[in-house]
Amino acid sequence: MHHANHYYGHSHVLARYCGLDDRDPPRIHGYLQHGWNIGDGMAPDHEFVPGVPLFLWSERTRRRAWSLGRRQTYVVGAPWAYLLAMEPDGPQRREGTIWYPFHGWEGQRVVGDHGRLIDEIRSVEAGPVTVCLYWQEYRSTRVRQHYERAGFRVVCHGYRGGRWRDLDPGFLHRQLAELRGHRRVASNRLCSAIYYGILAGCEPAVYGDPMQLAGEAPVWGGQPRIRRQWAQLHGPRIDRDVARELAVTELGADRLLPPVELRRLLRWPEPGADAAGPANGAARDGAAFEQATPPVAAGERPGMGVAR
Amino acid sequence: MSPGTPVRLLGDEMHAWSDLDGAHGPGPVRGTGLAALLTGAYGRTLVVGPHHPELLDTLPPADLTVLVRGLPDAEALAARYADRPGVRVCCGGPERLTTGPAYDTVVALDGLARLNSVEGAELTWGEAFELLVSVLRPGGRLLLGVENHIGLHRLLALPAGSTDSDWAALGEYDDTRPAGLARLRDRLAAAGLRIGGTWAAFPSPRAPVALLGTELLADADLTGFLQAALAVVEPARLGPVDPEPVLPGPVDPEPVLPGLADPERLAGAAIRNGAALELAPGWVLLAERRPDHGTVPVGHDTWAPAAGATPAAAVLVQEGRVRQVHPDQAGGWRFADGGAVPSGRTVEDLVVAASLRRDLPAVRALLTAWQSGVEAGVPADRLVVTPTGDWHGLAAATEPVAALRRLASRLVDAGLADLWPAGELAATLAVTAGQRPGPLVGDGDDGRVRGWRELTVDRDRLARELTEARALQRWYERTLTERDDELKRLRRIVSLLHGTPTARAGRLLLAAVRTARSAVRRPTP
Repeated sequence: MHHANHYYGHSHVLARYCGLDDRDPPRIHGYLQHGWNIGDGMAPDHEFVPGVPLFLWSERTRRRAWSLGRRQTYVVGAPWAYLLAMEPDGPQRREGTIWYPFHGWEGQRVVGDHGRLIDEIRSVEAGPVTVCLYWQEYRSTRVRQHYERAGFRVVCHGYRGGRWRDLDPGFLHRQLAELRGHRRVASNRLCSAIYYGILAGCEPAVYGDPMQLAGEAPVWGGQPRIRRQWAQLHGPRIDRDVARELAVTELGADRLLPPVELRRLLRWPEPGADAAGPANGAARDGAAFEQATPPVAAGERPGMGVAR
Repeated sequence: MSPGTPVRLLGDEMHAWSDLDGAHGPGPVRGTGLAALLTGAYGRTLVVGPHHPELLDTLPPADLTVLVRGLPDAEALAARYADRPGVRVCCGGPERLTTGPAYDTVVALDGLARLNSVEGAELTWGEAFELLVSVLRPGGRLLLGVENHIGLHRLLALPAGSTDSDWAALGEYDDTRPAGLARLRDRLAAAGLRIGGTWAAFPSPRAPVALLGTELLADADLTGFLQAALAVVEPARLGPVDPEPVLPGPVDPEPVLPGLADPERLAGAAIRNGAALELAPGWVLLAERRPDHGTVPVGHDTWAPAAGATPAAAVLVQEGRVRQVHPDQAGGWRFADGGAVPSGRTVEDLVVAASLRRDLPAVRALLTAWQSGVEAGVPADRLVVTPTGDWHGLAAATEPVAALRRLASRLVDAGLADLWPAGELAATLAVTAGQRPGPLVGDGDDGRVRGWRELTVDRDRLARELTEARALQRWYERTLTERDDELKRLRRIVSLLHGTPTARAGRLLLAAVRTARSAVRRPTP
């Protein structure tokens, strides 16, 4: 329905969870939240059509969206939480820190001192550091080399997808693999990646110059509000239990729907209802998951298990 | 905003939310009537929830803390009280309140439903109540507003859409919320509170214009006065609008919308049947936390506030004026300005009773006395006749024609139209009152809010009148046809007789007579 539903392969993850063909996810009849934010869950430039439902990550976001005049708001949980529910954590070795410098999105430019940020990272992180850049910054040789010269490994999870073009179903899978390879996740702003990392078992940290977008106007209170409201998630060392509780809440990992309910909400077909229905392995995975899934207590599922 | 009065951000504040502007919900609790109950506040005072700033203005400013959840509201209040160093404005969720010394007075006239922030915990009524009690020092006072979920305003309301503030509104499905006044009072007693006063709030819990104490409501002699007090047309206002309001938005009136029935009529019935307290849209309770921390066994331990701080037995807002009622030491009740509160019934009740008895002389005497006296313009439902025969108007006089029309309209709405001859009832009442027959002239708007019930009564009456009019029309047509037929028959006979020799001879004779008569009358030249 909206091209942002397919960002980061979100619709692909949900299709697989629902036992449907994740190579070509069905149309989601509504707007799916695609990133953590402190407003109504949608992107600031999102155009709304009255009557189209909003599928939001968390109950707090739903309450906030309602207070901002949104109706037909439903909590489904973040696609990331569904991915973790389907991908059990293995006994792999975790090492070092994966660091997400604040980035702009398409058409935006970040103003900040990467050199000073590198110094701050070095002063805090004891182990090896992987810096994950957004695809825009990753394509900038200057920015990439800045971090490489500091001795950091530089990666990019991929392109989040355009307007129904160049979709990348593997985005979240690559991010999950990277996060599970690291002991810590850090950024200079509290963002989706930090919550993802916490849920994937990393110890979180938020510190350093938060940088600015060129011409950035604080929306819904901006960084001062984030630092005040989520103060417990800021600093180089954060209580892991508190962090996990907050991540479960913000990602709606305690609110995941069983596949049958999710299909109903997204107005997706039942598996096998279509003659050209799912025949791949992913779809079978989803169907198998369907039989085992409880509707709640996602944190206790095998896939949500966290190495502490 | 003055740098000396910054907003204290407690956490969980709502960044772009306002309860005070009335754009996202029903607006703040408000009204000069409630201000009269705030006179008992003293010492270190806490106000939680959305209260109109003019209510806050009446509180002692030496040590006043105000908690709201929306940041714009907090900033507007901080600007308003920038020159009062004793006023602290806090913003955030109620669960963040627990630090600091206890309060002497806690005010929550809006109730506990609009304290939670979307960012924080969704406290139930019981959790929020316990929190407020916990910040009240022993001996301190709590002034609590509670909406009645089966109050008249809800019983008569049409389905309403949800507002932006209903993101998780539990309402009557909150099991921790005491259901009904009796359980509410038990709950307060169980929390160690002694109740010093209970007022029923009409016509809405958020903008009451009548606050009636339980003792006053229990006085059966005051039926007429209480009915008149609730026959309120005007919405609650707070007085003159601030020329430069600190807070934007229309917050004063709570619109009285057409509902299932005229709320005044049902309020009058509730008074007549002694059920006004149970059917009040809301209650305000004044309670004191027991100094010894103890809880009170169920049975409503009460507390009498000290002399001089006794709250009014009733507060009425009439024509923008606040009138307080206090017990009279000699028995009965008195207004604060010294006038006695009249006992007895309203003229309307007396007219209805006499009509139902078919006692036309009594009806005639009442209507004549009313319309020939100085209270002719006072609506009959707001005019009390005491047992000694004195008449007390409890509203400003309007045009007598409007008062007559209002009475007629209320009699029709009450289903009593068939006690009277058909036709315009107001004109019939005017004739019964001794006036000259004729069409009534003057403003006919009685200013009433009418609901579906009244529409149904109107529809049934009009349908009946239409059926009767059609039957009458059929009868006229049938009669007319019969007479036409008769006329035709007679004309045929006349025509037949016209050509007979007898008729011709008769006509000649008549012609001769006419000629002779004219000749005789002609004057002689």
